[in-house]
Amino acid sequence: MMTLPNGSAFQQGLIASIPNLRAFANSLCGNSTTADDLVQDTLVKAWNSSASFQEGSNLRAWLFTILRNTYFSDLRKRSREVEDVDGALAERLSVLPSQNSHMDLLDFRTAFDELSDDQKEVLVLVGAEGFSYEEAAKICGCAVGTVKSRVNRARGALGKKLGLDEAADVSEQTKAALRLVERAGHRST
Amino acid sequence: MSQKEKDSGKLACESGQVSLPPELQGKLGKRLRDSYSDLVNQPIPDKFLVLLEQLKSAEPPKAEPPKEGK
Repeated sequence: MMTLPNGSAFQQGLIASIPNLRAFANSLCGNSTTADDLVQDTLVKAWNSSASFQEGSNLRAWLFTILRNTYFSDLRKRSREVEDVDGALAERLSVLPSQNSHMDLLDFRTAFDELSDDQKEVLVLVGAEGFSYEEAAKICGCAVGTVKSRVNRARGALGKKLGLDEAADVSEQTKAALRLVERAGHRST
Repeated sequence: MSQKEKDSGKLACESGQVSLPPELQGKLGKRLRDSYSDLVNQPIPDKFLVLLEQLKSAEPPKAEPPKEGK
């Protein structure tokens, strides 16, 4: 069967986006089996609604929108079902980065996995995929300001989890010092 | 646009949210990209290519999906 040239260009675009779709899905799900199911669903949906894709617009952004909408709608469905906690945990442990597997990155992955889905999503879109705040807002279907505050909160949370938040350490020291001063003050009265 | 982003970045800092010093933001950003690129650099499993071939032979894109009875 002959296929339209447009069709194969679209197909090539989908193939080229698969590594990023898998990375995004893995970041959201935290386990590779669910992530691959999600990518598969995304590809089928994209194929079936290719008519709604505007040629010349950003295919990756369009695909990411489909993926995250599918993820959040699945999540809502699943939250009504009983979750296999042990299974999910076992799978999560089986996903390890292939390279760069030194402690820093393992710590990072652990800290990242503990973020809320909203925070993971914007961090990946803006920090790793390089989408602008405006593009990320469009993908997530929320306001630009919301994306910005989520990114800020996510950074703050990561910094704290990883012990990078030196500002927080300083303020703890300051508090400790103030407590000492306070105690000394009490003693002298 | 970049000026706009700078301006709104300033706003985000001024709105009293937790914001890390630029140096730490850079550190975090690097770890995020390293961690993410590990995921992106994994080879594409064949099942996805098979799936796309199946979709292609079932119906060309840009056509209406068949109405299957559920």
